[in-house]
Amino acid sequence: MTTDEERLTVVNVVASTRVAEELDLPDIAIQLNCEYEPEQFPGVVYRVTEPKLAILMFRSGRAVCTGGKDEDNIHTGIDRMIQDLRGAGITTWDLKDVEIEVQNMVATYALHYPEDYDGNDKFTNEPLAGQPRKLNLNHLTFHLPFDKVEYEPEQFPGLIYRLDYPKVVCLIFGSGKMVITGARHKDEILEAVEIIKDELADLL
Amino acid sequence: MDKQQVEDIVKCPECGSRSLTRDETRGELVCDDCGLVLEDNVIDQGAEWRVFSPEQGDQRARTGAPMTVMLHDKGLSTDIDWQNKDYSGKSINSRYRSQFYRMRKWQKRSRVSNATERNLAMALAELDRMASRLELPKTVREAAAVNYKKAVDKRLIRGRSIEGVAAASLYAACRQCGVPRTLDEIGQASRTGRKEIGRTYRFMVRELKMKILPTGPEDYISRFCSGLGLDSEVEAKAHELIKAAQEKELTSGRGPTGIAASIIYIASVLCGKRRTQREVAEVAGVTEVTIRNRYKELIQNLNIELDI
Repeated sequence: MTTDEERLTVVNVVASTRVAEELDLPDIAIQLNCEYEPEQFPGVVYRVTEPKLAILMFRSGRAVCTGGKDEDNIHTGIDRMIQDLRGAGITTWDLKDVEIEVQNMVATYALHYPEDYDGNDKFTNEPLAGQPRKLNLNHLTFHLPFDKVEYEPEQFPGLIYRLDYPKVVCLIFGSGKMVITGARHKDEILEAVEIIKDELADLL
Repeated sequence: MDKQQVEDIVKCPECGSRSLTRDETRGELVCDDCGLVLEDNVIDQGAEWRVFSPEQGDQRARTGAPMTVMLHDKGLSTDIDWQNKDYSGKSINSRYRSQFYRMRKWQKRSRVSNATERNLAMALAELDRMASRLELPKTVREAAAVNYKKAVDKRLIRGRSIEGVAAASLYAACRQCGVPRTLDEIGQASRTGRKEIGRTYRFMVRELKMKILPTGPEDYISRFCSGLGLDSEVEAKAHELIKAAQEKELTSGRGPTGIAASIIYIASVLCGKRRTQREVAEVAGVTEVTIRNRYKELIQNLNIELDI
């Protein structure tokens, strides 16, 4: 039986950190061969291929790492970056001193009928237990707290549900799949999934 | 002790009946069932004069046009009449005519006193223009003016274009009055694009906590059908198809105009009054591809036989 954890996929993790008091960006761009267009964006874009990440470095020594799938990914990426910087002769703080703070996590989740659901599809008459659950978003707009929900089918096919606690935003689609974003921790995402499952269970 | 207002009485205290008659000539409020006189010596709150012709009525009336939300001062200001005649009808002395001209001019200008009022006047004019272009009824215009005023009160105009907020207010008003217009239609009548109007609209709805229901394909059927010259038979068929589609959960997450367009296309074919996909697409503001995709899905799931 697939659990919640298994139906959840974390797609993106964004973290911020600081690796030095200051960094010489043109120097880094040349030595490490990365993107740096000061007219377009004030940071250097350092890309790691394995794991596939992008790290933006700024003159203040701060850096933002995106594209990670979990915290380990990010650690590895930042570690690799610090090694590369040191290899190029640029002074940085020690990896063990460096604080990494997760800013955002994005995950997808597919809603299914519970395994013990006792009902059949209205038209094909197949048992629905464990099947993906389609949603009627129009009904949902009334069922969920009105001032936390936004559904404009003319503009976007998904329903936007902003939760207060945990403070995340969920995009719920008619196929039953949803995107949860704005969380700082995987627990927040799991909690959000539980809350939504509870609220939708009433509609079963 | 306060005597209850005569307008507040709705029920007879004796027999409980709600059928009461107001006798104006005798100044009495009488119960129809038990005959009890509930009020007498009722004060007539009308005018103290009588009229025998409409011109006399105009002359004696002390009020002007009714209050309206569509003017920035709510229609409460006054104008100096253009006719250059005094009260009794005599023409004004030529010496004073220029003075009158100046007074009229300044009276018109003083109506708008500060920047807020000027912006409000501009916005309401813009609302009027767009509503005329879209041929919207008075109720919608008034609702839009009210929406805009609320936005001004909550200081949502700051940093946004007046046209944008006006268009968003109009879009909201159309939906509130049950006659939704697509964002595209509003975008064509407005000077801003549909994206900006959409963003401003969502912002407004959130800040003003407006309760606006999502649009459904059924809202657009009658308008699109009349635009295509289709009669009520096709309309009824279309509504029937929409119900069937909604029951089968084929509509969730799909743009309502697209669904409306494809259902009208199917209905027009089924009733023998077929319209081309191109015509329907143009009236609905969607692409032919959308109609093709949707209608194929619909006839498959609703088991409809279409002879094309």
